[in-house]
Amino acid sequence: MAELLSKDMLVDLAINLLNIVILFLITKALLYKPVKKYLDARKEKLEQEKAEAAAAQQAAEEVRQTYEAKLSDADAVAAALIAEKRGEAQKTAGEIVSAAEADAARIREKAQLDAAAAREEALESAKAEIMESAIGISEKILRREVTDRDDRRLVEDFFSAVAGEGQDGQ
Amino acid sequence: MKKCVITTGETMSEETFRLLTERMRKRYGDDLWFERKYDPDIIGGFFLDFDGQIYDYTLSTQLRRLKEQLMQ
Repeated sequence: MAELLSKDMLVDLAINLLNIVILFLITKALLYKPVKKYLDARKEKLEQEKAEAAAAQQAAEEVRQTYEAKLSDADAVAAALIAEKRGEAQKTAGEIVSAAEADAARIREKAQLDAAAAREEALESAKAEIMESAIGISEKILRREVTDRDDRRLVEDFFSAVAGEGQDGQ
Repeated sequence: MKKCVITTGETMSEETFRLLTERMRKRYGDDLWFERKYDPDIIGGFFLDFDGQIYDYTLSTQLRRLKEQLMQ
């Protein structure tokens, strides 16, 4: 046993331990800090990218919500506009129909008045023709039947009108 | 002298015309002279144009007035 732990071996062990420590210290000085720094930087970068992604997602969500709200508003505006225009069209159609009905009524009334006027004119024309014929016939009869006795009666009528009976000679 | 123009149809006789002129002289005096005219359109009676006035005593005028009344 003592041979196992000889002085040389202890020195070697100490030297090895020292080498390990030195190596550890060198490695720590040369590698640990840069690597840690690198890892910290990378972690920080990852955290930053994660935060940026979250912010981007949040912004996207807000844009989506804004877009959906605008779409909803646009749908409502479009629906209101369609309803308004439909109402205007119905009102215009109603006005056109009413105007057409009024025109038709006026035309019917005018046609009735024109027909009545035409009937009246035809009646007056027929009446005038009948009167003309009657007067023409009467004239022919008078020409045939009038005698000097009728002339004498008219002379008496004249003096009865302008002179009066019994006032001759003034 | 005052002029009196009497227009008659063909039916008035000379005797009736003379009666007319005599009645005119009795009414308006003897200072009258008469002119007789004939109009074939006159149906019985006479026109008398005297002292600025015209007297229409024809049957044709009465017939025309009847026609106007009937047409109203």
